[in-house]
Amino acid sequence: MVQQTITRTGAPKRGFFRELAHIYRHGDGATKLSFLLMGVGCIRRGQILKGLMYLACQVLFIWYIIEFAWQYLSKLNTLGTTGMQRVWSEERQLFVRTPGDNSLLILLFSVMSLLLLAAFIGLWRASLRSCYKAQVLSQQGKKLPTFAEDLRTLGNERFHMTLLTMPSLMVIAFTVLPTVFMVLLAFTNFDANHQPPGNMFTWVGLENFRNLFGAKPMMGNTFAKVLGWTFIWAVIATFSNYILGMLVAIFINNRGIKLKGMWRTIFVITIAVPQFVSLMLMSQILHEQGPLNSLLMQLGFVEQPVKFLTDITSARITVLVVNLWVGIPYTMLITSGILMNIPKDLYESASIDGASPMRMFFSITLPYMLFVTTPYLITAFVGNINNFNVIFLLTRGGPLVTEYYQAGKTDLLVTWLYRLTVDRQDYSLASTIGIFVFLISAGLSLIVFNLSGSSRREEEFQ
Amino acid sequence: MKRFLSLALVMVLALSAALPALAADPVKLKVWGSQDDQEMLKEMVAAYNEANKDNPVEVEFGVVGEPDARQRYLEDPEAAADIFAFPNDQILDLVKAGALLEITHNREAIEAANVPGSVEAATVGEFLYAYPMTADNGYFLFYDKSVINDEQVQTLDGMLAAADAAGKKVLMDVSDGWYIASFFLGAGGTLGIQDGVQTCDFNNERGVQVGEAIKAFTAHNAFMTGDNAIITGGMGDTIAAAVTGAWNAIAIQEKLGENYAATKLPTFTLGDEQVQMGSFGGYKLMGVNALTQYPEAAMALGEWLTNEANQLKRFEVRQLGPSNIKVGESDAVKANVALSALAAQSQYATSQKEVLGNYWLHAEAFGATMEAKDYSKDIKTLLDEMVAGITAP
Amino acid sequence: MKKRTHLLTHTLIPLALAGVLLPITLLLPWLRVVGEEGFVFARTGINLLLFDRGILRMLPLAIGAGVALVLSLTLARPTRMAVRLLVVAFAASLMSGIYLLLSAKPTADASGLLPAPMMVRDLQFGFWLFLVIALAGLALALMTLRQPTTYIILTAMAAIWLLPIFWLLITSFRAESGAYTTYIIPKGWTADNYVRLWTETEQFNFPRWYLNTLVVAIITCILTTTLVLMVSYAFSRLRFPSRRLFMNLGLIVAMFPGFMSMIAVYHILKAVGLAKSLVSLILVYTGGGVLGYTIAKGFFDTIPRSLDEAATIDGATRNTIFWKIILPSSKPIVVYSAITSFIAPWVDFVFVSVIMKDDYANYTVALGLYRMLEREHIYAYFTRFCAGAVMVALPITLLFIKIQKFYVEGVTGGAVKG
Repeated sequence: MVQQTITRTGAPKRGFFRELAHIYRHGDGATKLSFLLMGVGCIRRGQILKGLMYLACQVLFIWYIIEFAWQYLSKLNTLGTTGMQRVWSEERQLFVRTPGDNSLLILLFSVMSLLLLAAFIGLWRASLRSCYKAQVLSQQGKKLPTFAEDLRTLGNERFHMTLLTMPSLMVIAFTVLPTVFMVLLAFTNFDANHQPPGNMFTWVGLENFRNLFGAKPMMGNTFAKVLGWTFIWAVIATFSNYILGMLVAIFINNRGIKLKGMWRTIFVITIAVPQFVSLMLMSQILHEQGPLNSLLMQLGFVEQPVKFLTDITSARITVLVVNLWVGIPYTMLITSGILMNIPKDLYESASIDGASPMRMFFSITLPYMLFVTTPYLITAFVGNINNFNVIFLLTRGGPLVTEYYQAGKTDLLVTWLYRLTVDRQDYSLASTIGIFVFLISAGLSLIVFNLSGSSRREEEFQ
Repeated sequence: MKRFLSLALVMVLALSAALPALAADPVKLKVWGSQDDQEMLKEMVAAYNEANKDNPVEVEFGVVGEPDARQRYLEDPEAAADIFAFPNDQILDLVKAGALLEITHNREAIEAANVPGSVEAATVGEFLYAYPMTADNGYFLFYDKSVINDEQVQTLDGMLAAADAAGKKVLMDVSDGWYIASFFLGAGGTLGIQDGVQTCDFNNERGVQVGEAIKAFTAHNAFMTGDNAIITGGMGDTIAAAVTGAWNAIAIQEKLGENYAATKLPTFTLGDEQVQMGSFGGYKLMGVNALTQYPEAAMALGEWLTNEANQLKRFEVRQLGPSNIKVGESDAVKANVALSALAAQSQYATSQKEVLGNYWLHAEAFGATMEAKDYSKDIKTLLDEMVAGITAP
Repeated sequence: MKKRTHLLTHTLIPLALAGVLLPITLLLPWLRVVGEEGFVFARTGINLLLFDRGILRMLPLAIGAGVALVLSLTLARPTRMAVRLLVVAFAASLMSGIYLLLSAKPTADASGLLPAPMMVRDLQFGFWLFLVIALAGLALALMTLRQPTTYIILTAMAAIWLLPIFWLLITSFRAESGAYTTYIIPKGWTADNYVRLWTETEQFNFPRWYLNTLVVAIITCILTTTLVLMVSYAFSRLRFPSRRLFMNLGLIVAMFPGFMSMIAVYHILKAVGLAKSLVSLILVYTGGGVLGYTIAKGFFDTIPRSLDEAATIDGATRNTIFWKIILPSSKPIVVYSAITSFIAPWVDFVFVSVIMKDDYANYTVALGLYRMLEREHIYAYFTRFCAGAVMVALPITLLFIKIQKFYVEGVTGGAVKG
């Protein structure tokens, strides 16, 4: 499909304002009116239903702003000025409190309203476009698409819109919005001393970042060390799971093995047990006074209990090993499914040409697998960077050390964040760190995903 | 006749205006309590409604344990309960966040009825912010009489020797800021608040000596660490003595049977002298939500739930030590081995008021390093790092 | 005559060698013993077998080795039966070797014949050599029969994977309470834990939570699978202007640590009036699950384009292609999406605790079970926790087993030639 810089109406596609300016210049009275009242141009041309719908949206939006959003938006720059009031009431002999501005809600609902505003502007632009298109078509004497016909295009040319609308809305509401909110929190001083409803917090600019990188060396040191371990953990965890899982899948997929289903089921049972259950079990089993240690002592393997989870190096190794136990069934399932998708004729033609099994593995299986599972690997890698469950349930991030600020030696950035938010209510610091986690994960994923073969050679495989 | 009719009309009108006020909306309150307390709270509220037939309250119960109270409240103050219980170390955070309503009804009576320590714990500045509910959130020593006799239990070294001879252990969760403080506080260390920042002198000369004592303790063969589950699981079998609180009393009593005993914490060796171990005093308080719609009713109910009769009930049902003076002097409470040990220890207890949030994790880190027998750094360095973390603004 | 050609011939000699060497290791030192005056010497396998019967369980081992020896001598004229029996003999030797390893200390200490408690490091290289040769012999025998040797690895791995599950199962039937026990096999057995889990609902309302979670899981599963498939199909097949942008956005949007945005999500739900309800849970899980489209997209990319083209030529709209052609050939990925989105509500306890707060009746099973392990309850409730965990794992496992068949059917490339 060739990129078009000019739409079928002749208005330039690139340039938000250029397009609007063009429509304004070339539009007639009704279209110009549509700038103020959405949909008028459409109604004028006979697309009554469509025009009325646009108009209704506009009215709805304005009502929303006045009724709900303005009280928050107006306070966005200060995040609240009137705190909670405490007034002594003589007749009732008690203090009566009137709630003041709630900085949290101000920030949150302002962000939400700003996002809705952006959406509305998009809708406004769409309405203008369709009005102008209607005008051009009627000027050219062509028939205007009826509402029914518009709907039908949603099933074919614009099918992507049908497919993507619902999911996008949900994602925006539950992921984008909270993320933007959180990013903004990093620029405030929302911590234990500024908790609503009694207190308000306000903007502090880059102070949190300065603290993290200079003003408070302990924090900066902890951040660097925890980041380092998070990386090491993510790399080892992801690749060990992937490679070993693939090996197991290949073992089972081997022609000679009978009862393939049974073998897979055995591994799959461990997925069926909820992850937090198996992890809590593991933490009981591996406990210094737990069954594994007493078994080892009874069998004569060791004399003293092994500190699986409380000694620094052992804890790190144990956590990686337990992660293997948890993760290999997953990777095995995924690679199994893909292994079976590889067209058999590739292997047949290769063996006709006289290739050995090893050669076939490296030239056919491996590239195919890597291509198809690259998105999975990236997801898994980032997932491991944010792998809260395994670390939290096994060691709670410990063992804690004095040189870290509120962190332990198996803490990932996420578990450290959790402790900062839940135990210390230090949301602003946690958000600052969260931004870095996000930048790192996102940056890595984007680079790898777009540079890797999978996106460049998409068409090739199809 | 006309006048009579118009008078009657006026009266009817006046009555119909007053009637709605008489049949007022019932007061709706929400109460949070831990899972185990739900039954008991329901009974207490029913009794309240019996005693206050003209001002009944409709109570909705929510399950939020005391340790979670602060977090749950701060997550959404508007949806929080009108009355909730919390441990006293959360009071500073709650007051700072404007969560608690000042108790102004019957304040003097409440302050007179409860032990001074609990009242002090519930007071911030010049206001009383909560009703004292229990006074047993401190810790002391449980031990197995058949392994450690009364003389040995007086000193830490004696206990360790006795336990070691019997092949058992002395348990103390040193990697918990709450417990490890007993060494430092007993030796005279102080925690304070200045300009909103924590001050801590655990790394001075005496503090380093204390650190050495802790190191010797954790390095001893008979030392063991663990949490509640370990204590209740191993008491009597592998554990001869444990530092813990009244919440484990029932389970430990089951395990030890006739050999069940409890007393104050021992003295430990500091240089050439024996120093009594201190502890943190702990209380559970019941607070009223500052944003409640019915402050009078909430205060009345809060007072009721923590009055003498109900504190006695709490002791009988849940074995929780009361903060009410009269109940504390009753024979039943005095006969309770755990509670009298707690009372003995509370002479040496320090309030948690001056402890800010930063303290806990860093003290825990030091304790964990000692438990792991990680001697890569010397005591002074470790203590310096610990204090640096604690006193960070 | 025919059977002989099925055996691999060049492994026969090493196999026979292994069979002969196995009993010979019995002549090597097996156990290190410290005598009365501190004199260290080693007992060989034969010694232990003939004289010091009580110390190590040598008998089954010796039998296995003997049988292996005899059978390897018949390999001059190899038969399939002989090799099969050799597999059994080697496997038996290996098993008895492992059994010996596990029972060494208890029997050695109990026999009173050793002056000091025995440790595994007292076992000498004779024993370890025995194990190695038994293993090698087993592998060789399997190779001779042209069976994959990976059976051994798979068996070992299966045992390791199932052990914790096994422990979970037997603990759920344990009569004594407590979490940190020093023994593995329970002393008393009871089915009480299960009964009490379902009947004692004042403290932990397990039946209600189970129902909650089931409802949420089913609806989330349906919604998420549909949405994920729609999204990945759009990205894989359709080409529209902002496609690259959306894909990249979708990739990075999920990378912010999830639980931190929970405060925001909670307040948004509250503003819409949905806080503390199961509907909000469904929305949150679906919203999060949609972002897993990358895997499904990878799958769709492997379905040949020619299928689409053939259908378009026949006049189908994109809509029809999606529902009638692509979906039916995507069973594995549908199954995968369905299962992962079904499991999510059963295992999440962080999101639920934020959204439900104190609304006890609306908890899900995960949060309820997690609460059972809290400080106050763990002693009394651990066994019931295990029972609850088994009840959660059961339906999911059965589901998996049933779906296995669909999983195995891959995409067939038979619709279009070429």
